[in-house]
Amino acid sequence: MILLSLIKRNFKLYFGDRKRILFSLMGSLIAVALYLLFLKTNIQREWNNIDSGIQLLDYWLMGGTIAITAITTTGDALHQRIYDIESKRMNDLMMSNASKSIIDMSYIISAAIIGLMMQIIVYIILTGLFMLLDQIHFDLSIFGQLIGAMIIGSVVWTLFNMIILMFVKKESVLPSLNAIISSSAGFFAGVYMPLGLLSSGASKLLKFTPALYDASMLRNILMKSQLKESFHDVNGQVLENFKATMGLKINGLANPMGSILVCGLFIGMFLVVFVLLTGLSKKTKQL
Amino acid sequence: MLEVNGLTKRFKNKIAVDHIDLKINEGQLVSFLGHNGAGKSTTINMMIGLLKPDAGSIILNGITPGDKGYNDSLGVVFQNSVLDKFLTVEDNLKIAGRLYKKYDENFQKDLLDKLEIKSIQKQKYGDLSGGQRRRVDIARALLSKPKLLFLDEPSTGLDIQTRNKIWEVLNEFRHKMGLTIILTTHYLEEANQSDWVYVLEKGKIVASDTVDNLKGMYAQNKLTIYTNDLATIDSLSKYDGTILNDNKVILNINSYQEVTKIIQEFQNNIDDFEYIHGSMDDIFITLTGREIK
Repeated sequence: MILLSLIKRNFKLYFGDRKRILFSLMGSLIAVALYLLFLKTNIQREWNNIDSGIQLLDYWLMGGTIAITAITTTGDALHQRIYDIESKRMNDLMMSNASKSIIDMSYIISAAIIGLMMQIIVYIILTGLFMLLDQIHFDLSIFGQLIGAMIIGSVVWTLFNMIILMFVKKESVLPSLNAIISSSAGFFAGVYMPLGLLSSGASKLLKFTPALYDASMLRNILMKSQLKESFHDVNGQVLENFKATMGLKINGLANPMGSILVCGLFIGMFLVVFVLLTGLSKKTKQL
Repeated sequence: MLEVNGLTKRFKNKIAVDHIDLKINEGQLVSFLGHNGAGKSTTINMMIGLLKPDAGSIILNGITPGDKGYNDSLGVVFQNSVLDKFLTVEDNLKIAGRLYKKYDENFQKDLLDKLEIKSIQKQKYGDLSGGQRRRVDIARALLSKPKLLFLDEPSTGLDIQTRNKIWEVLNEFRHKMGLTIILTTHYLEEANQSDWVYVLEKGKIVASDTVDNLKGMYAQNKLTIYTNDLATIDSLSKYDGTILNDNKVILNINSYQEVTKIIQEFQNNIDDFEYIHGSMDDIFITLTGREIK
């Protein structure tokens, strides 16, 4: 009941503020706008010889954009914790029967659910947009897998953002932090540039973040049926090369299971760091 | 009910609270008086468990801050309104109520009636006036039926009607439920109704007594006589500490018998008079000085 009430509060505060929703979606919206205005025609030119290349590219972009949405919206939902600390709202919450760990848990659960909901919303909007622009198909059969991948993405990014935000004590830091995370999310998720076209140094760096694996997981699910159709008459090796270039197959891992596994490892790692940091901050306060 | 011994808190090199001892009995209304920065809020923050003392002990009905159940009997009205500005009053109070294991919805409804909140419950908390917000803050603090209520400058900036309403409800809770109240205030007349007053200065308690005893010790009653009769002015000016100001003679006299005697003696020569009792302001200024700190 206490945890539920806190989660409900976080939802009301997040969804009650349209400006906040819009700003947390800014990273994804910018990625889509950049794609439509500048990148689409360029990348498309390279894909002329691929059957239904435009549609394939649309699905590829959707995967990356949904990954950005998970990164930015979970972060923004977690900012509530900083607002509450700075406005002394936290002091009032602490006066109730809610413990510090229950309050923190409420921020994490709310952020993960908000991240999932926003990913679904972005998916629906982008599907609608590309149905209109490029006549892509809405494939209901992948919905279950897609939701699963979105949940994994939400959990990874909630924990990642929570760890970052544990070092933030002031609300004034948030806009700068937001700008850094939103703008780098597109790069790390490989939205603006396919992995295979990056320098080896850059692609190595990207492989150490969960962004690429999250995007890969989503792209594999979204592109699966279109890939089959487009590469129907083509040699299997061509498809494998294509997958490697477009970041659908990373480190030779079979997808989406490979990416799910890596994301799972990141979740485990982030959880350990989070628990350690929580313990450390408790100890510091006691000193 | 609450016993505090040797409570001390330092911030870097500055000592905010310096070995404070307090003893507060159940049902009492206790005031903390002091300048800004005297250590009132720091003391309260330690007593409600938000700030860890550097030294000293706080024992509330046998348990200390941080112990399980310590918060259960506490209600706090913070100096600044801290509820969610973007949520309605109704949502704020519902959410706050459900953060308690023993949430009583009927009690909450009763509170809304008493504090006249019903008409504003659909409004966003951030859109309310200062007085309306304060009423909601008080309702929120009382939601858990606390035994001990901390009010950190609850009346600052409020109109007289809101202040009266708030005290009407708080006094009802004191009498019906034996609520104990610890108050910090700048409004000295608010402290006037207290059972016990602690005056804080630079983190230390400089006086601690009932209002009447403090007045007896630190406040001076004043008799002002208005007269144009020079002989009367001459006679009255012989009293110690007399101040003359045109046709006004101000005498420091605490004994009402002496006041009656003077009035009778000069009744044919005086135009008017007034007798004013020493106030909390006098106590405060005597103990903490006139300068702004």
